[in-house]
Amino acid sequence: MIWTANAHRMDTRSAGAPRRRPHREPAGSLRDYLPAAALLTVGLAALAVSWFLSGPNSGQYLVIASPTTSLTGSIDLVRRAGGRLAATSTLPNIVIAGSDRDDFPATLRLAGAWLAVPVPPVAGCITSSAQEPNP
Amino acid sequence: MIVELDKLRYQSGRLLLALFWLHVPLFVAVALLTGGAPAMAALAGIVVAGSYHLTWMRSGTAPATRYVSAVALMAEPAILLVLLRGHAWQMDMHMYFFAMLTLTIGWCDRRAVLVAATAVALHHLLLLYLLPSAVFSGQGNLGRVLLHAVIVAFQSLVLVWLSDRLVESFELRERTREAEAASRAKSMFLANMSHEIRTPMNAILGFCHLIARTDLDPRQKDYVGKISQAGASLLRLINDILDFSKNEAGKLTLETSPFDLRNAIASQLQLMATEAQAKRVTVTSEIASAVPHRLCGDELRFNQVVLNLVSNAVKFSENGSVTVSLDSVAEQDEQVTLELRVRDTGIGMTPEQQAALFQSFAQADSSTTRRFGGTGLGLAICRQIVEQMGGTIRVESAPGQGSTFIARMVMSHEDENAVADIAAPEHVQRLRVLAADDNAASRQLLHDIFAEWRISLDLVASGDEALSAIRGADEADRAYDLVLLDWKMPGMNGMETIEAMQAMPHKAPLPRTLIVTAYGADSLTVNGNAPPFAAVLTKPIAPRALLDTIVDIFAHDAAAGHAMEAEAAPALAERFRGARVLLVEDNEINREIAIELLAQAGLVVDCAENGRIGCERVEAAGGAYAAVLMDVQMPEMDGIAATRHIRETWPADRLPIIAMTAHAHEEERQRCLAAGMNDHISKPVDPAALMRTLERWLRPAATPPVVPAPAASVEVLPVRTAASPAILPESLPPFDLPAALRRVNGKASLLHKLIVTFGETYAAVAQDLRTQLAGGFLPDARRLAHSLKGVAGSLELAEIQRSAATIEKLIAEGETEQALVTIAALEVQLVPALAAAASLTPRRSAEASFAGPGHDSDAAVAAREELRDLIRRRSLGARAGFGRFAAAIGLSDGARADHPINRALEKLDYDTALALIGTEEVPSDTEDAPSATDKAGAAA
Repeated sequence: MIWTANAHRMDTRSAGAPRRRPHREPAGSLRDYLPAAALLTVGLAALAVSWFLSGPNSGQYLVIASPTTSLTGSIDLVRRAGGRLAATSTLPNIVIAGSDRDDFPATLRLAGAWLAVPVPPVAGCITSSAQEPNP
Repeated sequence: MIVELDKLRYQSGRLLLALFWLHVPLFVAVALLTGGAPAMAALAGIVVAGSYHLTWMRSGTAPATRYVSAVALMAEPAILLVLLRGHAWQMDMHMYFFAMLTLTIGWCDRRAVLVAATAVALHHLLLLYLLPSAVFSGQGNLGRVLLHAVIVAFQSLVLVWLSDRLVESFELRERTREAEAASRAKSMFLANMSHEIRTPMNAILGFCHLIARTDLDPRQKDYVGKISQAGASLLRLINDILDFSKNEAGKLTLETSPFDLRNAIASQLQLMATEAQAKRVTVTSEIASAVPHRLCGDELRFNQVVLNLVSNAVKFSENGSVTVSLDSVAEQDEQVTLELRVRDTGIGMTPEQQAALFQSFAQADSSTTRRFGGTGLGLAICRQIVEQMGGTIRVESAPGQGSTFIARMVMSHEDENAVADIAAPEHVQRLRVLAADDNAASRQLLHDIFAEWRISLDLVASGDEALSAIRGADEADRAYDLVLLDWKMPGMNGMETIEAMQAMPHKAPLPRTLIVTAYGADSLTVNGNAPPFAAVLTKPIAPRALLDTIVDIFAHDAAAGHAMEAEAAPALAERFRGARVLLVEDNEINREIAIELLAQAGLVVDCAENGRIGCERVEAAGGAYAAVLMDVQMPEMDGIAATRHIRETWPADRLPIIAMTAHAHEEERQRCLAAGMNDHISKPVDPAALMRTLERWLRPAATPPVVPAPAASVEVLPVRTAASPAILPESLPPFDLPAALRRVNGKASLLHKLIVTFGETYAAVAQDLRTQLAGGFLPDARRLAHSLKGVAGSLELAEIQRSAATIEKLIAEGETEQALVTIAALEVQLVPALAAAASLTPRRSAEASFAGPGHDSDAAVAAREELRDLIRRRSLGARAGFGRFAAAIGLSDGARADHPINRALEKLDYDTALALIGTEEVPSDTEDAPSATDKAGAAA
């Protein structure tokens, strides 16, 4: 392996700095992308989770049932927990439910919901005034 | 490999590392301000920065790190968006994506930009479309995602373009540098090769010249002449290549010294006289009266330009004429712009041919090379020189109408205070010269020239008068040393005068003769016999050429053992005479040689035996030394350390220090220069090289120095006069006596003494080396070998010098076993040398311990002090020190072996030896031999 003279100088100058690789570019190996892909995946997942968990307590809840649940099953689930259907979503197992009870999310989870959290605001490139969803 | 690009990536990567870690406290602060969870914010920041840091540690600036950084850069604004959710600045924080995206340019890698763009696109797609679409029916804002994507794509395109341009520019710069380095390497190779070829070429030409002067039959003479001619052509070609490549490598440096322009042109035309005559070309010069007589510039290079242009003109102008004119076209401040025009009536050139003329390896066309020869480098070299002189060169020509080359050069006016005319050496000034020329103007010119040189000149107008004058001077015991004869004179011509002179009876040796002719040297054929004259000069006589010829004639006589031996020794210019120099050298023999050379050159020499004493002397002298000559390897304090010490007080321009070392390597030279020395000469010292070096660095002796001489310093040269006419035998193998004599300026008595001292000092050197190696005293052993190497070189003991050098090298490398083998070989080589040295030692009676009153009490005191010092330091070198002390006080071999100090040193009993040296006295010069013997006996 060839190391540049400059690289060697810098290595000795800054302790703890990584050893520099030669300039010769590797031939675009996919392995080079793996760490970045992993970080991107973890990052996006964390963003999604944080989004789900970041809703203000507005009396409306995002309810996610098991993926096999039909819209009727989802509505039934909400009603059994003592709540009301506020809005449906694109997917049948995800609905927005409304309730004034503080233990509503806990009751929903006991009733079989996978997730029952206050409705998260719309994230991304919007202004703060337009961030609250209008279900 | 592009070093600069690599460096930029490294710096960018390091900058990002700091940037990512700085985001951690930023996130915490934002979380605190917006009521978020600081711990989670910190965790997010640490995950991002940590991921990048890990990759950086592992892969450096490799692509993997660049891609990770691209994702991490996009993660930072994404995290800030989460933290600022619901805040009025949430939308503004989007600007941060673009800022972060821009930072990817630092990698100069388009893929990093694209990865970052992909990351921001996925981020937007997830948060702006996928999640809202999944949760809120109809809330996914694909239009907005696309709008943002277009903006990001546009920025990414700009960044990719910019990144590619950056990489290209780095690659271009690297390629340019490589090309330049290759070109320089090529030029240096050419320069080195040409130089290497020139050395044997000089030998070929030199021996051709010598063979041509022996008795050869006509055919042999013809062959030798052709070899010489071909050799000279080849040498010219090599010189051209050498010059050109040196200039290309940026090594053309011009010197500035005053010179006579008219003489310079005349001498170059004189060089071309024979060729011009052969081609029937009339060469004339027209120098405008406005041109100053003397100007400051590089005479050698100016001559080169003139000669090149004139020789080209002559080459292409058969049966025609060449006119060289010089005029002053502009004058500003101290600068004068000269215009040199060389006009010929030759074949001329088309505009196309003119265009390629000043390029290297180009001639008017390829057929020119075949027809006229030449390298095509001459004009390119002229262009290099003229441009370096701040001028230009061009040509005006048309086919069939001849050519005019016009070169402009800038020179400066001569400093009126620094006018230094050509000075004749002292031994030349003592010559008695007679000149015979029928032309009154020529006689007047010769009179003026010789008067300027302060050489006694008698003038006559014919060969007959010359013979009378020579006869008269011989009878009056004031014979002429040199006679200048014009070749063509009415009545008896120059050659006839020489013949008559040789036929006449004479008491003193006949004077040397110098023929002056206007017809070219080749016209003087001597039918294959050795010419009866010493040299030929062509008219018009250039003073410098005349003086050089006279110096050559008498230098040759000196080399041949003529009575002028002492005068031919290299001497310094008058203005340096009387300057005081300090010689720092530990080796006695080398010291004596250097003292001899320096004193003969007219310098006052102080000595120091090592670097420490040298520093003390410099300090005590307070600026009185004009220069210091410094050995490098010395005991106690070496030359490098001493130089550094001296340089703390005396800068290089105030006190030149010149290294004298047996190492001829470039590294050694560089080491000396790095320590603050001004120059370096290698031992054995070549007297002429020493003088040249001193002339370069010495400060002229403005006033006679008044320095109290230190007690042990050597004020004047301690050269003993020869006691007998035959001081040295004709040969003394293995010493190369003639060569060694040249090293000591022909001082046979000094060389005799040095050889005897060598025999005494180094009789036990092999054993000493073994003892030192066995005791692990490697530095002492190395120094001893080094010292032997230097001395053997000075005394021209080539084999011993080589062996000592090998031993020194082996010891330096720690190869003691190998060194011992070489020491055994050295011991064998030493036997004849020591026997030869012993043969010069006067036989002493068994009873006489002292050699007589010849010893030098100062030297003995110095030797005793040195011995005391060595014993105090418990150096194994003390035995050799005792040898020197014994030699200095003149102890015989027997008394030396029995001497109690010697016996104590044999037993390594330094305490006893030190006690004994305390009682040791040095006999004074006035003591006679018996009493000295008694004293030694008492000491014993």
